[in-house]
Amino acid sequence: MPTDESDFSERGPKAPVTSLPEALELLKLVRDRIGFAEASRETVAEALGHTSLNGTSKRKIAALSHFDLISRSGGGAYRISDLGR
Amino acid sequence: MPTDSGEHSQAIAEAAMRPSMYAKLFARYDGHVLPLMLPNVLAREFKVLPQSSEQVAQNFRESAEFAGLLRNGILSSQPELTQLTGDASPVPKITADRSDDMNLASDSSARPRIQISAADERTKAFVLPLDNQGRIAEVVLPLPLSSRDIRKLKAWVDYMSSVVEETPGEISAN
Repeated sequence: MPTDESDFSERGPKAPVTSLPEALELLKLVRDRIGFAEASRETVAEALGHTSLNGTSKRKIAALSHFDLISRSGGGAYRISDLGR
Repeated sequence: MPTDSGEHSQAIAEAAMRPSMYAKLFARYDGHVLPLMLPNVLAREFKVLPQSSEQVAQNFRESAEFAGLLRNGILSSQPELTQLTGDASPVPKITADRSDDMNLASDSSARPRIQISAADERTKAFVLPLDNQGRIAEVVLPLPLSSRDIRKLKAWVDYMSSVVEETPGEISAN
């Protein structure tokens, strides 16, 4: 299993924990429940069906970031990226 | 935001190449057959945790196939032209009747620069680079291939040679 929230690699390039079609399913949940507004990581986790921010939800959010489907602002909030639209 | 299916396909392809590891895999295998031992390559050269390398390889294959960037086992950084333009026949596709007096796999002398994909047990896909601008031709042949099939293919190539006019930087068919 992955050692951290974002990838399968110890020190190499990063890889998402889901495939692209799976990530697009996750993106649809975010779009349907949050839209294109900025949201905290906790809110995104809830949109993905998790009651709290845990390892699984963090990895899913990271996968969305890997594919550039969501982006993170300087303040730490997330929003659907231009590519994700 | 994509406005048509072509832009949508392009956006999907871009997303598929965004993860840093995927970008490196595309850079390395663009135009080539994705190795069956990809999990081992990921573990040894990309520092993927050995227990996760199968999953990473599977995710990558699924992502590339979904984006139209893995066709007949060959990875391409360009999505399939049919998805971008609606062109039903973007590259030459050759088919021939099946026969059994020659196995294509044993004949490798005539195509030293051609990429070969073992797509499945019944067909083999070839990618022929046409120039250094990235133009390629893809040929999918049934296996086994007979000498009669080869003669048919040669006749087709000869016919194409007779009808194609070559001009600098451009090839057009009459």
